[in-house]
Amino acid sequence: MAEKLGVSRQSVNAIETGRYDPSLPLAFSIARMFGVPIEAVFDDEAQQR
Amino acid sequence: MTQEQASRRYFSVLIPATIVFVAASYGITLADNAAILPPWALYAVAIVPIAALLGMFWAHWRYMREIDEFLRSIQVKAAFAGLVIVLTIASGWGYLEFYAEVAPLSIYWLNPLYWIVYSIAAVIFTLRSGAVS
Repeated sequence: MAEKLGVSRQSVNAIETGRYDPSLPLAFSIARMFGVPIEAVFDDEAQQR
Repeated sequence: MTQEQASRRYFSVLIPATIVFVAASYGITLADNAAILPPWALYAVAIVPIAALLGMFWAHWRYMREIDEFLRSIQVKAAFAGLVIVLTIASGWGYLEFYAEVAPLSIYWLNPLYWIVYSIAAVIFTLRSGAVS
C-alpha cells in the first residue's frame, strides 16, 4: 500500500492508527486507491462533535 | 524516491561531512596551538569546516525534500526543537554574560548542540508519532 501511494510504511502506519492526518492530495490518493469517495475513508471529526 | 533511498543519500553526505568538520576543527586547533600557521592561513583553513557544515545542512535540506510529508513533519519539528534550544541557550547565556558575569560560552558549541538536540528530538518525535511499531 505504501509503495502504491509513494509514501513510507511509517506514514501508512501513522495514518491507520489515527496519529497523523494526511494532506488533502494524499487523502485523495488513498481514496482513489480504494476506489471510494474520500468521505468513505476519512471522518470529519469536527462535524461529529 | 523511497525513504530508504533518501536516508542513504542523506547519510552518504552527512557522515563524510561530519568527519571533515570534526577533523578540520581539530586540525585548526592543533595548528593554532603549535603556531605552525600564520593567522591568514588559519582564516583560510577555517573555510574547510564551514564548507563541511554547509554540506551537512544542505544534506538535511535535501533529505527533508525527498521524504514523504509525515516523515518531513517529524524532521521539521525536530529541527525546530533544536533551534529553540540553541537560541534559548544562546540568548539566555548572553544575558548571564552581560549581567551576571558568568564564564563566556563559545558560540562554536551551538552547532554541535543543535545537532545533538535535533537528533534526540527526532527520536522522541518518531517514537511519539507511532512511526515505529
